[in-house]
Amino acid sequence: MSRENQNHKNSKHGSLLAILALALVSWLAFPAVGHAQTGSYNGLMLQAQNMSAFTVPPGRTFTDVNQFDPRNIPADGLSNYTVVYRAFVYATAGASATTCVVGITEGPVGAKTVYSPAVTVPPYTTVQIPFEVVTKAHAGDLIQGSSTMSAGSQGGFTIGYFSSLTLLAYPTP
Amino acid sequence: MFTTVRKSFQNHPLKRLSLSVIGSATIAAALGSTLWAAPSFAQSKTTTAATTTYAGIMFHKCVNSPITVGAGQTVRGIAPISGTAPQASAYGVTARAVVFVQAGSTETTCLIKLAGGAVWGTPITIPANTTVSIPFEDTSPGLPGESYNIAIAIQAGSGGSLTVLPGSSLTIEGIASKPSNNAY
Repeated sequence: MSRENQNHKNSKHGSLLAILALALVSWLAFPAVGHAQTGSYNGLMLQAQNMSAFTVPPGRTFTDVNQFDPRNIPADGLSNYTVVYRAFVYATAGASATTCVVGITEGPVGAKTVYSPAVTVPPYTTVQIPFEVVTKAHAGDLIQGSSTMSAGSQGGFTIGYFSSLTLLAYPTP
Repeated sequence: MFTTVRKSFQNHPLKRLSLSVIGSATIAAALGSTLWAAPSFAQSKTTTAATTTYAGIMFHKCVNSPITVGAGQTVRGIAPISGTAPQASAYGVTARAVVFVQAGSTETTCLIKLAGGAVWGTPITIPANTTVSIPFEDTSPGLPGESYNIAIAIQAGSGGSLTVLPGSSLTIEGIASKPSNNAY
């Protein structure tokens, strides 16, 4: 082996050692960096909102409103979760006073739905209706949800822009 | 720490070999942090996840039957919550009431209070024979292991009585956080 080749080899070996030493420095100086995220993803947050207004006729119920994309609670975190579904609905009545019932479906369309009381919507008035329900879930569960809006028989209403459904899953004992 | 390691290896006959071994281990450790697919590292991740403790708070209570509040009266103890926070952390805690109230034949107001009446909002007008939904929330710092006994209090205006309807709820959410990261 020529001296040039030998020098090249030594230089290459030195560079490798320098890189390894640098990696060691990083590992020792910042031990938390490589592990900070281990097991730390536990919660879940999902939201959907309607980006245009729509009208619910008298006596009708619209389902599958603001269905958010299904997601799984992380499977590699903690075991037990409390899940909050929160709907914010903006309803505007026309010439007739009416009522609005908000429902939250805890699962795919057709699954169990919990309904709010019928909230009064006076003529030519917009009301905001917050409604929330809570349920339990476990690590790895598929979380789905959507909302429903029911108009009273006295009149229809218009569901305003950016009514929303938000889901928060917290790891809790 | 690195200085100690470096000095102990200075002028050692096996320095180069040792550094190579340490370097390989370092790379392996780095890969272990990023390559979840490697079975041995996946096992390491699972072990770490299992030792993570619960840190959040979430309590919730619903009203299950109508509650009548007489004109000018206050009813306490609605949707009472009792619970204890994990010993894990300090918290930023939010108490949120969502109350559906219905007025009778006369217009009245509804005032929502929390924390035994120590915190209250603005009286909301409830027109006659009308149902409205009122959100109200308050935040406070929380301590590890702290017990929570919170309920809603509803005060009806002097104009008339009102009825608190099923579906009304109280929710307590606590996010584990450093006290200096919260503002109230």
